[in-house]
Amino acid sequence: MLRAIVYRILGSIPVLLLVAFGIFALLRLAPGDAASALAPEDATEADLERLRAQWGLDRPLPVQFLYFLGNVARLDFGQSYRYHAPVSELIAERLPATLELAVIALLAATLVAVPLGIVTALRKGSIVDAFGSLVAVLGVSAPSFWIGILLVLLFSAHLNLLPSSGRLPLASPLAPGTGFYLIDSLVQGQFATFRQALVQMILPAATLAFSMIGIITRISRSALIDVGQEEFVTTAVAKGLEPAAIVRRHLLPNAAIPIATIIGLELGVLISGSIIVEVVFAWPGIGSLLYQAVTVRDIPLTTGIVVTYTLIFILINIAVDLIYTILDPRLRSGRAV
Amino acid sequence: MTSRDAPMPAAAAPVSATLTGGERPTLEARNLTLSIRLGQRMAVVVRDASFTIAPGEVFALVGESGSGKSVMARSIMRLMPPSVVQMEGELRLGDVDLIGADPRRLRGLRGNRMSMIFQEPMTSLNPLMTVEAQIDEIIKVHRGGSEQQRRERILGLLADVQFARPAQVAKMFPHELSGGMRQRAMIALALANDPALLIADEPTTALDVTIQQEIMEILMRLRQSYRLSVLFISHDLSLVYRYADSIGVLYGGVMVEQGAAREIIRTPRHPYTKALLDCIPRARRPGERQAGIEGSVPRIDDWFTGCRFAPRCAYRQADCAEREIPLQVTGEGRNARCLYPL
Amino acid sequence: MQRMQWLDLKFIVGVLCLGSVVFLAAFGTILSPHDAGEQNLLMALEPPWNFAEGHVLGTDHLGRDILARMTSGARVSLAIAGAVVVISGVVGVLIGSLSGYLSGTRDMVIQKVVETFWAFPPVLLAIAVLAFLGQSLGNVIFALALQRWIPYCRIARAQALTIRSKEYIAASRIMGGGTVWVLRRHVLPNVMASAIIVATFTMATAILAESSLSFLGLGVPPSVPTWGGMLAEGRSYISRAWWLAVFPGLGIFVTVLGLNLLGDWARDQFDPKPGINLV
Repeated sequence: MLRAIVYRILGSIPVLLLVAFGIFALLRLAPGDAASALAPEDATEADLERLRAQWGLDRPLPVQFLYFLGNVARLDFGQSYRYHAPVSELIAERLPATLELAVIALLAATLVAVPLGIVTALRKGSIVDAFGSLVAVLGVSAPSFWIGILLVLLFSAHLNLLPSSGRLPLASPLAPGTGFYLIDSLVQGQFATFRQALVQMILPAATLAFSMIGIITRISRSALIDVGQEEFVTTAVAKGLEPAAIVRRHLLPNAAIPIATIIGLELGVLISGSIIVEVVFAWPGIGSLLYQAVTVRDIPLTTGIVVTYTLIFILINIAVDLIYTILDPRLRSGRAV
Repeated sequence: MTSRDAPMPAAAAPVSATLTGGERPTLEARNLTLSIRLGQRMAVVVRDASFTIAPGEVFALVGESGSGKSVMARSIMRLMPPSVVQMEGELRLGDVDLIGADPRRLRGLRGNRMSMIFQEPMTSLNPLMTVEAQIDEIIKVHRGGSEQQRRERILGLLADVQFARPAQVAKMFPHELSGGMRQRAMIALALANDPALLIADEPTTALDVTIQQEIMEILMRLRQSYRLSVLFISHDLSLVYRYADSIGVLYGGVMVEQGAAREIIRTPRHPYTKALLDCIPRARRPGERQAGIEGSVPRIDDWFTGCRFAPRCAYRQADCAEREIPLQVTGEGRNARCLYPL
Repeated sequence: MQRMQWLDLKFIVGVLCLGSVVFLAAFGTILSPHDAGEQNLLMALEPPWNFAEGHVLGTDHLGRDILARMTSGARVSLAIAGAVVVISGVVGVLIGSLSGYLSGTRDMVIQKVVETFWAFPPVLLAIAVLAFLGQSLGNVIFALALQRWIPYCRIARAQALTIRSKEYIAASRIMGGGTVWVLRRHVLPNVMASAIIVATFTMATAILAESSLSFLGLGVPPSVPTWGGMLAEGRSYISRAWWLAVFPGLGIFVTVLGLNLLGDWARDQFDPKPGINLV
């Protein structure tokens, strides 16, 4: 099995290189002359000099690519124009906010969607199925920023129940920790802060979760139906088992692996998809940071965040792949089915 | 006096080649008609089939694909819900009416009084459960017993199906077993609760020829030791005639001939049976060609009048395509659905 | 009976939704007497249902007619998404068929390229393209098509691989049929059905993506009214003017919903899955 893991990681290296090249190409395809085209109007000469040094802009292209790879490997993207701070620091500071929101949203969505998907699969063709499928298709069809705005309109503006932006009020007593406020506040024993952090998260997480519920419900339903077609389910019926027992011992465990795999993959999609939600709710993660960076053409910051998102996405995919290999006994022993 | 002259009974009593007087048959079917839902309507798949299986008897149901044998097998096990398959006629397992029984009763019978093994051993076992766990499940549901008792029973069963190292196999997952091994595990599973009837739906079709032999030997040995009745579904007469006590030949949803295996093979009375026997590959004299049967099986809901086999029958007469063909007694304990049995 | 009803409902609602949006795009200018860019500060933030002044859906903070802007938004979304679907479809099917048919090393290399494109998080790639290459209509279409060709590639490749192994292909090659001929006659017809289903879903995601980009200000130039753009502009005023938030979003939602329903319906027709039978 160790071999499978090593193979998988080695096999992703060409793709990683190609991905890096893709970002590099985008970077260099920007129209016009290198340094000044990549910088905003108010960039100083010092900024431009730094740009050239960081990315090797006056060297031949292949060398530039090596510079690029080196920067990515060291996670060093230079200084942000707008914030005049190292890009990697800015990202590190705001990454936990993005991750925390994504994880909570995915958890919430999974808790609702997986049971819903299972029930609609078991009662295929019934009213329950129709209802579940309706919810799913609505979730998948509604743009997240619209849902977010509507939620703010209802719960903040009209009902004044929930906050419309931010992660914590400015005067929060929380000391710096992991950056994950839910964890930090619990560790520091600040339960009021914990509650506050949670409340701030409700609307943005609900917005994110809404579309996730759509996707996960459909996947759960589909996976369960697929498993239901397998021969061993017929064997289970031939054993004289009760339907509930068949669902519990044969259908669910076999559907769990594909469902879990896809949910894991969705985490990757969710993280980059949260850009919009972060903007709508002024959530201080790397998504809203990217938005600001792009607006002012802060190339180092933009590049850094793009690379970060892509790396996270790729790493999650590899991790899910590997976990799948571990979970499925068919693949564990290395033998083909 | 030829069969043409004898009066024909409308529906002959079901025959069993090995039923001794007074003994209750394990499985009894009378005028069994199966209809399957095709879109908006029902299509008859098997019509008026009647047969019995005595305790300890091996009854081979032989037919090509499209004959309805698989639907028959699954319907007997009541695996198809009423919304898909409608059953008419009589079907009894011992003294239990299978058609009228409620779902709870049926669940009590499945895996307990009647068991089934399937064609594809590769996909018939839950890939995430060990062999032991899967057999344990069927024992727990119907018999219970302590963990120790169940474990002993499982090891005993695995030994019965000729596993040299039962304890080792018990802990294995299905994908770690070969096709033949999986099928043996399935047999062990099916016999766990000492059923009266084992339905084997083409259990060897997906296996290598050498393995086929092994599995058949094991099944026959078990039939003896477990006093088991076996309903063996197959398309392969050559496989079946060595092991079966009785044979029923199914064509286009109709049971065209039935009787003791030896007699049917030696003197087939229905043209289809004869044609099937002729098709069995065997050493031929130079110049002699491999026989086949011209034409193809009637489609599932194409119930034209007259004999189902008439369009392809080398011996057909004018009235074969014009009337309902009744069952004709063609010997001691055998019959054929033919106007002019050979 | 219940099953059939649900399926038909999907189709009906889907057609209604998509149909109404297409209708809006086609005839919206007739329905509204105002121009999309026509500012009238005296009529700013007028509520909807104002038939007297001809502002059926109200006006925004600059007094511009919402219905007229909705029409423009519909046209932009449908046109861009349509272009994306056609381009990605053609490219995807071509590459996929070739990849599957040629097989061997060439297939492997092409698949590595596919994997690379697939390795980027979806929305992010589009944002990156527009951030680095600048905003223009062409770039928007390019950015959106950059990953959407992959599903087409997959189904075409699968089909090509199947075809390739069939014996009659070997026969027709001996008789002189070239690669193009084989692809056109054998691969393409079989891919059509799946490709259309993929197209409906791809168009749905393209509209969502395009409106997200417009919302972020990264889509087409801001002078062109788009649904996403309208939502972004109206965000600050929604507590006073709910119609600024509801209608543009509703436009996106109804279009995407229609496409998803039709895609679902179509998939059920071609690949209906039976229910779970536990007797």
